[in-house]
Amino acid sequence: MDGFHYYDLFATKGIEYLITIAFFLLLIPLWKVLNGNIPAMSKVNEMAGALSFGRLSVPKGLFYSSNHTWAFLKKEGTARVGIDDFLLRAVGEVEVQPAVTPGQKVKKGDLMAHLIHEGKTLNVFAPVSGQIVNNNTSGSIPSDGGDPYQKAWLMELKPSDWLSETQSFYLADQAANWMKAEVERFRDFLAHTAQKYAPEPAMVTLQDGGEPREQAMKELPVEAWQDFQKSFLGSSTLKKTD
Amino acid sequence: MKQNADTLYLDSRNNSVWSFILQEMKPKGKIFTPFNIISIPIILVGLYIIFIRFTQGLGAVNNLTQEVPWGLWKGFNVVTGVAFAGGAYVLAFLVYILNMKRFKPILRVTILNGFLAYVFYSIALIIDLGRPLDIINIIIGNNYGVSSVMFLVGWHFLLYMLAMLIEFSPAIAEWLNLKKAHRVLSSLTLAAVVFGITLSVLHQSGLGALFLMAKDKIHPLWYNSYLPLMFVVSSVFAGIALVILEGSISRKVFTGQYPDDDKESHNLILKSLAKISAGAMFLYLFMTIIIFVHEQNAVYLSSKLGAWYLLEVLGFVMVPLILYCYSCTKYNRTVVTVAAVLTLIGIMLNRMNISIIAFRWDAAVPYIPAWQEFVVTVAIILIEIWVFRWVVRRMPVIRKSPEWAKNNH
Repeated sequence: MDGFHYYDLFATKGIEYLITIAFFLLLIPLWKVLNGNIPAMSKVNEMAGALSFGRLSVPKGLFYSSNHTWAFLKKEGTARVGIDDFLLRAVGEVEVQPAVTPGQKVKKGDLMAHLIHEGKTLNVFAPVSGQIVNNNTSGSIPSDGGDPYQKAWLMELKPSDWLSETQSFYLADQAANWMKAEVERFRDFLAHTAQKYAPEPAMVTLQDGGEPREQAMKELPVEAWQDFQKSFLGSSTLKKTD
Repeated sequence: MKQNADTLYLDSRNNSVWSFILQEMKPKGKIFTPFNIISIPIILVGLYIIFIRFTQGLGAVNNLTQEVPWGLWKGFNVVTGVAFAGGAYVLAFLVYILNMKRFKPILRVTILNGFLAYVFYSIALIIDLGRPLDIINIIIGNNYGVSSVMFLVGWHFLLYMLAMLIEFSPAIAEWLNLKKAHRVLSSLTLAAVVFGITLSVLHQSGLGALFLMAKDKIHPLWYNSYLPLMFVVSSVFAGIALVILEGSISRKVFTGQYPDDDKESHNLILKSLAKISAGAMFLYLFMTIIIFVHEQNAVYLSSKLGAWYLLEVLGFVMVPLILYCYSCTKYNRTVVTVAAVLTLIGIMLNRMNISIIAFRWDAAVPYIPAWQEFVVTVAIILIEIWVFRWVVRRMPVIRKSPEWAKNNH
């Protein structure tokens, strides 16, 4: 009949089965090749483990800014500000050096404090504008962090424009979702930081599912702290909204 | 200035919507750039040819015949272009379904690309239809044609364009500073994404299914019963390849919009895309081999089309696969970009082979596209690039969203 072509199915069945088996066998070395240098990966995977969203404290009553500071308005009208649990757990025990003194006026985005660990510094910027009333004089934030919102606050100030300046801040569930995304972003940051500053020339990535270790920043060089500053804490005055 | 309570004010300069939009219509950047100087004449000639097409008929501007009714416009702009636009659904799947947030920075620009691709390739389709006004029939019910794959493809194109517009609309709301609209549109994103992915997979395979009924017209090396599946799998790496190439070009053209410290995260994104592309190409290659063996096509390899087939599979599937694998062990941005370009050429070859070159390869008068067809094809792509550039220069597509949007896209 025209238009029909009869195939002997069995003529090629054996070869097709062999090709299918070859496909699955070759999938294993392909997976290894695509995931890069496994010995180097294991070094980065040492960072796997503890800094997961589930371990972070993200109280619902606080306003969180995108540069990992929080602000809380007390009944008497003063606002307490500090750094959030993500930042605390990422950097670990740090010495806090205030950049402002009580009585001084700050604007949103002005330098508020330095976090210092073994010569490496991170700058923390004010989440809201106001007049400084009080600094937390403890001088350091312990490595176990404690509660960053009770013990490890940085300043108290009288806010001058609380309502408009906190419009863009994260609150409650939104804050939790944002913090989850930041943990994810920190994983990627560690992966490309390890590649950038690791002695091995091969590119390494975190295995999917692995989470960054707490205080992972402590072991990284000063250049990584500078990159972290730019990526997570902002490198200059925060842009004002119109 | 006296404020009208009914006027929507967009910024601290109290500009209304209309004056803002008029302001935005003014050209940004240099006018006499090499790209503008080359593209403007091509676009003008292309528009003139389209005018001729609608006033004097299809035959005045192409070499299509009764034996070969589908030409360059459908074969390249529609069939190939839709494969290239597959990056939108792939990236949306990665970001929203698999929660791989590392790709979020490039999602919005990819969705924009996909949306513009479908709009312009639909325009190319309308230009190529013998009775363009009949395209409305599948929607208004004047002979829906429900037994035709074309019915599915038509509806899917329409719905997918709407889904992508909804996905992109938060960027438009951010541009116009419409906070309430932004909240509403952002809440629709996930539904639009899920809907879009479903539609996209179906119509990518639907385009392959269109050719199933042309068994006797397509050369056996390219025709098989698994064309729909092959089209879906190949659309994954085709879309990713275009995302890689578009990213490389955008970084040079829109340098000022990218953050300074973005290079390393972009390298990570490229490497991840290369991995996914390699996986999809590996699957596609083995599917091609199994189908080749199953269909007993070895007899055709000794012909010219056989050599052409081998060039397509070995040169433009296997070679970019090897290059992607190499870039995963020893990352090199140039290697990834070259692999992406080869992949795009391979997809173009494959789609053009199925729809034009190996379609009625035995016709008495072989089809060779007229110069007007080439000009219109290029003109449509150039207009799309112009629109893309217009949008990217004004809306937060590559640059960060305003802070109030709380959208770290």
